[in-house]
Amino acid sequence: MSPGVAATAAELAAVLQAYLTRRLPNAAKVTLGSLRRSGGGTSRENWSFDASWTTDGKPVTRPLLLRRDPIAGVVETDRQVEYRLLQALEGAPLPTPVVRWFEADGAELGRPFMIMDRAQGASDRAVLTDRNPFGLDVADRVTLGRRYCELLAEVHRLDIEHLGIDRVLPPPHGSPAEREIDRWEAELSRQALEPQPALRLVAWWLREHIPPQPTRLALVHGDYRPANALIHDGRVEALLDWEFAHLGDPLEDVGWYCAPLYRREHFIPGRWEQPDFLRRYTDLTGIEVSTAALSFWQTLAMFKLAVLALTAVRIFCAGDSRRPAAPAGTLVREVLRAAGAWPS
Amino acid sequence: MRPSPSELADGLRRTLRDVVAPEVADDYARSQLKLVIAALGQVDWDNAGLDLVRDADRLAGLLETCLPWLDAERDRHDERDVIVALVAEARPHDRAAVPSFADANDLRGRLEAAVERVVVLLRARLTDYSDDRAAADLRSRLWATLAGKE
Repeated sequence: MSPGVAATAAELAAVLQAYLTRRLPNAAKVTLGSLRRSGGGTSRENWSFDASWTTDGKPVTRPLLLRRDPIAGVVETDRQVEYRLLQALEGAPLPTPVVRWFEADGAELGRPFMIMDRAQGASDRAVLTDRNPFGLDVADRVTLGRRYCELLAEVHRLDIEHLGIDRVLPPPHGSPAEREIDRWEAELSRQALEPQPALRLVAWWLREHIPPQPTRLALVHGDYRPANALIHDGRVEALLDWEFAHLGDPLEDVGWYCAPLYRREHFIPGRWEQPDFLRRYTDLTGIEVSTAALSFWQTLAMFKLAVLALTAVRIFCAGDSRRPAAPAGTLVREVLRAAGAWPS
Repeated sequence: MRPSPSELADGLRRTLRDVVAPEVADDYARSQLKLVIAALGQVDWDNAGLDLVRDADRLAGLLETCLPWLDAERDRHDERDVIVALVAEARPHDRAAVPSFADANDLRGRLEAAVERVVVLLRARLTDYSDDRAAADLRSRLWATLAGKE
């Protein structure tokens, strides 16, 4: 094994055990059990395990989750920022993971990683759909759909100064919408293996339809959807995957949640639809969602999804990821359709 | 040709879904298997090569509609000349000649790059002259065609 790489589960278990022994100086007999890579996570490797030790003769067992950077991921973000943000969020009335340790370099496990408490439950992007992976009845699914809306409102109502979030995430200079277009258009240039005239047109459309700036900056999760929430006994146990988080316009998350690509997964026909979601969101936050602003943020969401799909294609074609990626042409056409027509 | 590539891919998906997947206990391996099964269903294997050729033809047609606008101003003539040559390459006299997948893919990439350059020219023009109807009409046509509506 190369020093610090830990490629297999057995190697990882040995290195993790040694790491935890060093990080728990008052603990004796540190052992690891049930180490397994979990299925989710496109941007990180997630490994769940139980760590056991004794402190002052008393046995302790803690369910933990290791999140390690992949060799190549679809998201290049600063792990230290995510770690510090999760620390700041421990003071917030939100179900967020409790983080324990963070290592920024690859000395321990070959790549940066963090270890956090492992909450109970599972996530599934289809939780609200008739596929119903958790066996919830329709009323429970409607309650859960409302809960996603309420939690998003709670994220956006956080006092970012009081929690120190503005010391972790830099406030954008100027328009948050413009900053997001800059970021994702630059990503498009960096990631696409082939020319993307359709997405260049959409980037142009976005720049010509920038909504008014929000009255106040909010914490934007950046990937807020049922796939990133742990469910246990029909309730949201933890909001996960904060690596896209930034300060910006709260409607960015609303547009992401309401992106056309997700519509069939995020709402329940006849019971909990997009207008219900938007009404409830406005009731809870006081933030009006104009048609024009929603259209902008939905289109930006689709643009971002297409760029992420093209990133997945690039790393797959380079052999840096085992995750199969099909051509993104259909999605790219959907981005244009999401924006509607561009009247001459 | 039987099985066709799509029939073969469908058969592989069925075997992976109905025979292999139930026997895979590990979460991560199961999630990867689901992605493989999904990816096999996301490509029209029978027509992947033909679609490339059709796509190149569609892009060539779109670029032809850009020629009058490119012809209208001297500073667009270099791009016009490149596009005229590209369109000719995409519309060979010998229609029976079948390009390889790699050649068709390369041609389509160059046609897409040309459309991208037209977008850049249009954007610069409409930034300076927002009332240029011909440019705005062309932008709408590009949009509709690339969205698959024309």
